[in-house]
Amino acid sequence: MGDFPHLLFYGPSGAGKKTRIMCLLREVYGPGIEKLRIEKHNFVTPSKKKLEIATLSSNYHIEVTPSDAGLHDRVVVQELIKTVAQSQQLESKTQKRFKVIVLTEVDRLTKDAQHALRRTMEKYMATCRLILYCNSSSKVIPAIQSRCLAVRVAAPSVDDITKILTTVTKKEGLSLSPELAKRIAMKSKRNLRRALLMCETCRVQQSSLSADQPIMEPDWELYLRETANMIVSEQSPRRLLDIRHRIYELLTKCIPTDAIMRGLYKELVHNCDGALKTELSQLAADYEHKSHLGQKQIYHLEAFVAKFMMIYKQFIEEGLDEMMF
Amino acid sequence: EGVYSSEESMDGLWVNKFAPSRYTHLLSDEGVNRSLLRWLKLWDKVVFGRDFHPKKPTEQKSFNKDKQKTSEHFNKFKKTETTTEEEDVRELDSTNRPKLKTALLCGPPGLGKTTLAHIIAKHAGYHVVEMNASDDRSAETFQHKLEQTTQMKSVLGSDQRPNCLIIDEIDGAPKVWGRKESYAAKLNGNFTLQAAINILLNTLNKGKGNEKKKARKSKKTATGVLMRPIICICNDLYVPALRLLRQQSYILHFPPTTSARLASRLGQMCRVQSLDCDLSSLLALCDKSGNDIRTCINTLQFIQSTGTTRVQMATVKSLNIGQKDQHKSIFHVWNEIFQLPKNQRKMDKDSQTVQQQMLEGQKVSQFSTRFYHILNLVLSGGEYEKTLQGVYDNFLLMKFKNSGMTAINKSFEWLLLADRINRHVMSIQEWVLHRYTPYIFVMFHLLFACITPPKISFSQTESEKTQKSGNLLESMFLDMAPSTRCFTSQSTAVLDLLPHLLAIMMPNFRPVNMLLYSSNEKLQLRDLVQSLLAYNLTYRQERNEDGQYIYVMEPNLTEVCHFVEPLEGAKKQLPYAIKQIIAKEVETERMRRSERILMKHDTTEKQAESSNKPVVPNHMQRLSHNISNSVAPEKPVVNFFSRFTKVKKVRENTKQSANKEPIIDPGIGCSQLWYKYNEGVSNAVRCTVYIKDLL
Repeated sequence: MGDFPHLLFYGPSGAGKKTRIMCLLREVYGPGIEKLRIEKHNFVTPSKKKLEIATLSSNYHIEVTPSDAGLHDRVVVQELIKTVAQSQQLESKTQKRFKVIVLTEVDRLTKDAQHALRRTMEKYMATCRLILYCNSSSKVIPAIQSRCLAVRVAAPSVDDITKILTTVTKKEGLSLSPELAKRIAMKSKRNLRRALLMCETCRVQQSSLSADQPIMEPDWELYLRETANMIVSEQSPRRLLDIRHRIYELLTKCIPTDAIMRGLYKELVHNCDGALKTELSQLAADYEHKSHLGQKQIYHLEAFVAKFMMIYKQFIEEGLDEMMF
Repeated sequence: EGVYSSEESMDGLWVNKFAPSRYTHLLSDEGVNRSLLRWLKLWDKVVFGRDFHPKKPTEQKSFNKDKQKTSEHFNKFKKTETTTEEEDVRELDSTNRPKLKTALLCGPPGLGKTTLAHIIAKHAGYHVVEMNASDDRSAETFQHKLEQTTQMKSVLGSDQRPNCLIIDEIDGAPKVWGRKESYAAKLNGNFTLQAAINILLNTLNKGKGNEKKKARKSKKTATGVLMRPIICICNDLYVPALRLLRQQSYILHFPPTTSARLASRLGQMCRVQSLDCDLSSLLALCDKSGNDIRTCINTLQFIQSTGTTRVQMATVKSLNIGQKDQHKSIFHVWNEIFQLPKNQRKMDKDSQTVQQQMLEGQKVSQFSTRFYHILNLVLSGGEYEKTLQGVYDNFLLMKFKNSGMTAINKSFEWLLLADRINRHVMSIQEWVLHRYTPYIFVMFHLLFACITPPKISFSQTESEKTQKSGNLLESMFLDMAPSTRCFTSQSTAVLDLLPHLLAIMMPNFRPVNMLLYSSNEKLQLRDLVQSLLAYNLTYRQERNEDGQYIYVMEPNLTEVCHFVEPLEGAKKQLPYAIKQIIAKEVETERMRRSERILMKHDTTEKQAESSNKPVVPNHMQRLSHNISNSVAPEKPVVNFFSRFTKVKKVRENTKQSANKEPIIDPGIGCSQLWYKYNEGVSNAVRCTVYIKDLL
């Protein structure tokens, strides 16, 4: 009773993966799981580099983001699991036999670390359970996927979000018009976290919520949209240089490469016709993949933009030629 | 009328045999020679006790008059030094020493710097003591030797001339670029070098400190003051360790000897050695060696030793002179990458591979010349990553032939390859792959090189900025409440949370005293404070450049979230007063929380809290018997001390909603304000104040 296999939660951001994990843990261990503390663990890589990784732990579980260690995440995964798993619980009657290790952002783990994980997962099955969670299961190697019970957490539908928003606002003693709730739900792109934040921002901006009130969008999204428009409006080396500065700006604000790439793609795809759309999608996928193999993210993003500029320009010129004849 | 006469010939290296033995034989630039000699002569006053009256620069010929030989043919080398510099140098300080105590000769190897220093010192009547890289240069030995040479003098023996110290190769061991294992050694070397130079500087500065003292002590020279000239020689003037020395030295740059002059001298040499040669092949030799005198002479001797008696153009061309490991500056590398070569002849000399191909009768295209040139350049430069960054920064600024997008795309393919190689090397230490990186620069050269000299700019700011916002985020995460942190990761924080949180942090409060807030507003404020604490944010007072106080967010996450250009409607700023209120509230709430934790440890307090009954103070026990049962109306109590204890108000307010316990009538009991008559004491009005209320 109360036992479970290794779990792999995957789904888009703001769908409720972490909430489900915490609920599960609470169900298994009781409210003691909520007494959290932050601990610092030190690791030494084979190249004698010292790493300090912050973990979040209760008496029953430990949560760590191995991708914080960058290239050296393999060491973190191995060492941490070993130390946790090797200590057995003293009272097996009253306590659970196992502890839980929560690994976040597994899709950002290097292949090395993932391979290191698969043996450890089997070896320490007796004393610990792993809960992995990530946005996309496609970046988790099949070997790990097959060792886990995969739980897909889909993004909540627009209706779900509207319902949740209404209940939340009711609890806060506000009245939210269904139109605004719907608008927020649409704007949030089915991201519940964002929807709630948007709702709270609306409340702060205007203490009584009205149906046609503006909904705040994050700065970086607006910035990215403007960048995409710049790409479409002109294709030249000079413009590419401007784009570079803007991408730099985004990167320095810690916006992840994937988010930039995805954002650009989504904006650019609006401006493309059929054949070009598929080509663009392929390009985006290609460069996104390459960016994971490299180090300097700016190169990859800019290469993507440059390539798109080229094919877009060709496309436009061909279109013009056809118009002429 | 050559410099060399045939009877001088003997065995040994030609370099030593034909080394100039007197001032007039020097091959180096006349201006430099003169300047150094003049500087050395300035020491005459203190070393030999005789005045030195420099002649006007126009009377060049008389300059060499203490040597009986005045050689006419040197006069054609005009002075190049500016006179203003000389005026500077000519001044003596209070101890009759020249203002700059050391001379620093710098220039590429093989130009005769060491030779010049020796000859000039000898010429001015000194005994030369040389220290070079082959000597032990630990700090102690350096100090010892320094003292020995500058303060002592050989008493016995024939040579009673004063010493002149020449510190050769002061810039230390040659650097090995791009190799990790030698890094520690290099650091070590630099460290001792720095120590040695510090000692040298100390010696130089000794005079300065006790200058005043010496004025009183009249002519008696203090011990430890540098009384002998020191000449330092280096190849690279801009080694970090030399920075301080540079400021205190008379710096002489060595210009390369002109090919023609060197070739004519080599010709004389060949005549002495009865080696047949023509001027053009000698010129080619000079060119090939980069006007390195030492290499030229050695090469000539080598040619003779192979049995040939004639030096021909073909022999010179076929020679494999070791290319010197000169460190080219990174800007030079970038310039070469983005610039088309000027003339063909110059290119030939640089790349041996091409020459070999030429000898083998292959046809060499211009492309392959350029190819090998860039390849060699980058290889010798090392530091691929930095070079690549520079190339990346600049290649879009180049001129493009056609619209350019194809070229750019091609270059990006190469860039990505370089990046991938780099990542691979870094992750599994497979350094072998690095050998492919230089070809990428060749590609860039072929794609983007143009005739006009490029304007290269280089900045390293981007990575620093990323570092900065990363640090800001990290500091936010560091003290975040664990229960909040559980649900936030760095990426979600940046993408979803922060932009909204910052907006939430700017509520529409009225800029009035907090006491005047409606209950709704107070509730909102409380919520805001809670969430700020959960995310470990607050406003911090700071003084801006104008001297005004402003409140900035701490950690300043606005830097992470807001972009340079204001997007549709400039960001509204919270008025100062509101920020102040929020900051204060956050502070009090934080203290209250920490106090609560402390109180939990105190068991009695805990009991009182759990029973939720206020402890009735002593004085009220007597008074309360008639009012204890009356229920107070639910309005906030205001006493006339409320101004001082306004913090308490909020707290009371929040408490009120929490515990609906009947409150005692605001008569005498609950207002915490009471009157007690004490005979002879005037402090009649009292008020209970707890430390926690003041916080």
